[in-house]
Amino acid sequence: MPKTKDALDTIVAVLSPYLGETMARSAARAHCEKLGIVADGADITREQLDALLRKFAQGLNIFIGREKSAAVVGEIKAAVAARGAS
Amino acid sequence: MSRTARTDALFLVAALVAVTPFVLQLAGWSGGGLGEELRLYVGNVSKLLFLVLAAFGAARSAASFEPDNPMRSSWRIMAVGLAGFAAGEAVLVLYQAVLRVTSPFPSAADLFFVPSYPLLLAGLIRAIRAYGESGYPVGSPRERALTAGATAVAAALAAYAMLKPVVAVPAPALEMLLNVAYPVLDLALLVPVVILLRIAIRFRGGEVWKVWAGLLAGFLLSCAADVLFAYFNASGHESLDPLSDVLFILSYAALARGALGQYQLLRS
Repeated sequence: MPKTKDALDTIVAVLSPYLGETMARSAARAHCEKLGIVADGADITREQLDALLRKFAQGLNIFIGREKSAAVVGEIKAAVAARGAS
Repeated sequence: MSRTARTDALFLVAALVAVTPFVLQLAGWSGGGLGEELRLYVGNVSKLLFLVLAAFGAARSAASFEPDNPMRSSWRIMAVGLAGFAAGEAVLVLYQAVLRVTSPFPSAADLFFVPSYPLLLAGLIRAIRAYGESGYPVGSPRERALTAGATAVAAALAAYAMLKPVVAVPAPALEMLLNVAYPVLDLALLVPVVILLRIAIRFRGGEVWKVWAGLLAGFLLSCAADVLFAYFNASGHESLDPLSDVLFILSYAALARGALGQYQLLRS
């Protein structure tokens, strides 16, 4: 699994075109706080990442619809996996 | 150039072309009879076209959100409100461009315009609620309540200053009622618009921001146009009416861009 910071950077990079970088970063910080994930901690676990993405997806449905939201979350998962593998 | 950038450019060019005859008139270049004809047709057709596009974009956005998504009802209600605006504008086009007579005031157009306001108000309030419940950091309910209070006070003060000359001019009861109602309804619409603007600004740089920037700019310009129109007519500054036309055209273009932007965002 990637470092938490790397995973968050990837999430922010994928979400920024839709939400803007400021909102993507604040949302990442807020969701991490709610889930008890230390943003500058060590590796993020699979469970933590899934919980975080679920949190992102719930609100994303409101902004861009469920279909697009699912596609964006898929894109994030692929990007995080690629980053973790590298 | 991306698809959204192309659409932005297209809307910008169309809006600028449509306002040009009015801007030239304001600059003292009325263009005689030809200019008059140009303003009549370009003004009427562009306003109607932009409003139809806005209603279409809002309806398609509503249909593209899932049935249990709270934004579906928000866009659906706004679509009906925007369709009401388009129907009212169509009545004005019928009088001015087809029958070639000055549209009476009040007219059948007001039967469409007036009920559209509560619908737009309800649609915007639903959007605020949905964004507030998204779990994203869009501000606290207390912050939204304070914004609503401050905007309502500012709107009430503005309404008092703007409506004083309007009320002072004797007019038939229904005409007076509508002269007061439009600016008041516009200013009431300002409350959710300002709240949404504070929410939307947190999304700046993203596509979601573009949707709301268009929509909210449209409502703000429409409010300014209605208030100025009532003020110019009551204070005998009819020569400045082209300014209201410019604001209405830009307002409807922004509404259309915002609504179509949401549809593009859902479908791209």
